[in-house]
Amino acid sequence: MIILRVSALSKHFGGISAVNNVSFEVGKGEILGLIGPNGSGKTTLFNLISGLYRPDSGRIIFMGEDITKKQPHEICRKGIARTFQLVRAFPNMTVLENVVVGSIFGGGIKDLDVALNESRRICEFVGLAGKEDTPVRNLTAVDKKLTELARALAMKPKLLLIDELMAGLNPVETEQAMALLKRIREQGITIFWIEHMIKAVVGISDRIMVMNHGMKIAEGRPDEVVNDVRVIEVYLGGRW
Amino acid sequence: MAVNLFKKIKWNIIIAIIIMFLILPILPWRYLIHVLTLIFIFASASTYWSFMGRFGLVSLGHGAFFGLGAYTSSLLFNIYGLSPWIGMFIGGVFATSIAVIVGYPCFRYGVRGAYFSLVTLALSAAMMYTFSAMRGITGGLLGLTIRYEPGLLQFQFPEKYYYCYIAISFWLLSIYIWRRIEGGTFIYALKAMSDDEIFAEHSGIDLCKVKLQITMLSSFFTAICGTIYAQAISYINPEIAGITWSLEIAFIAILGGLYSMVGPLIGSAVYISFSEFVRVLLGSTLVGISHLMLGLLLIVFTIFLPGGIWGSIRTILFRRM
Repeated sequence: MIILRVSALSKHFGGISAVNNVSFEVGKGEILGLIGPNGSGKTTLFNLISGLYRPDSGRIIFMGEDITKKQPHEICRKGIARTFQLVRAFPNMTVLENVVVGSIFGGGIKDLDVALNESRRICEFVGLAGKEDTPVRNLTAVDKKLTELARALAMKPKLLLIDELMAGLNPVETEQAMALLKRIREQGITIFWIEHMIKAVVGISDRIMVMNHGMKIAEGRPDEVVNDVRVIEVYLGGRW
Repeated sequence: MAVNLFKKIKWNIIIAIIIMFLILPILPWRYLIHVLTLIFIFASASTYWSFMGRFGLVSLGHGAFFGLGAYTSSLLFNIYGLSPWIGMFIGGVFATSIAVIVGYPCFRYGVRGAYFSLVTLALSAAMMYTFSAMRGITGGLLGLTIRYEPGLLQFQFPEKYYYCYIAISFWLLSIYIWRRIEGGTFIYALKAMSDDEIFAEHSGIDLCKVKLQITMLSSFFTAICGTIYAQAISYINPEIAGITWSLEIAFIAILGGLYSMVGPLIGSAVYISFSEFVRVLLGSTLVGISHLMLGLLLIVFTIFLPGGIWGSIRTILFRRM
């Protein structure tokens, strides 16, 4: 079953074509990795899906519904949650409050006590137990990322867009993050993620999509993609 | 420990207010009662202003709402004899409508920060000129005297302290409303919005709606403050809708402490006493010197005591914030 269908999506900034005629599908329950060099349009693609940018042309269909012109908060409530490449969180709120925001406004829980309980459970799930009452501005970079992720999970998403989870993580933390992603998938959440750490993407993605200069250049099983001539060319240059 | 102390202080305030209620009628100085009334009216207006101000919606146009409330109820009373008790709600609805008309485009198309403040500043200037220009019914710059017809129904009392009761009750109402907001889920949307707008939107918060809701709440009650003021003073002029008035409402909140419940009250007490003192001391010589001094104070406060008077005391006493 297809959960997200993107067709012929394009976005230009001035003369630069950030995303150029990209089409793809995300199947329900899968982990789809998105790789590509810096500036290849990966984050722009996420910004288009989450509603931060309006596409110039093309359509985004989520669960059979056209969300191309919807606003970010509407898209959230339909079931797409995202995290940001440059970690975002509400700095003056505590970890728990951050998660509660997601739970109330994204997850649609009206009762504050229910939202608080739910949020505590999610904090524990991502490994933030004991840090619930710490203001986010005092957290380490890794814990900030986890807070952002916990807030996204509290929104009860059907599709989770993760923009570079592993950047800046040490090997142990990387392993933990990979395990966490697998556990998220086990909960029935579809994951579409951008990642530079090839080992991690290849390790847990069902499929991988590669972008360069705003265009999709390859898509397929991880072992196919990493052996694709075009992909190797992009990463290592021509005539390697 | 600190929290207990904090609660105790709040009880002290409540007891102080009850004593004030009992003591007012026997106070011999009517001038003092007049000043107290002013203090609580401005404290209420500033509290309602801070509903927006503390979340980064710095309005410099609350005078417009205040003036709209005052003029609506007063004109309805003077011309049609409609009781200000009803007129104040009509004024509130008027002010809320204006707030929506001005606020919605701002919120929908992302007019933020200083630009939003400028739009609101323009609103209060426009409102002041409107009241001056409608000379036929508002009396223009000469102002408007509210017909004197004492009676509970007319919101007019033979003794000043009744107005003081109303002003105090209205301030207490503002605190109660604030407590209600603080205890609910709406506060999370407000806090999230003031921390990071884009992230808030991506957490499912309809920014435009949240901003409109808090603006409507704030403008409605500020307009009612205007009616109370008009009734208590029984004279209004277009200046109460103007820029100076708007800045005063904002300044009082900043002076006392934006992020605490009693901050605006303390700011109002300091501000009103100070300007009354200067006015009595200097009389008609050096008109405007109090505003000059307050302007300087504002600069000093924003640089050295961003938490305001009460905010700073609280930080020293409880080491929190």
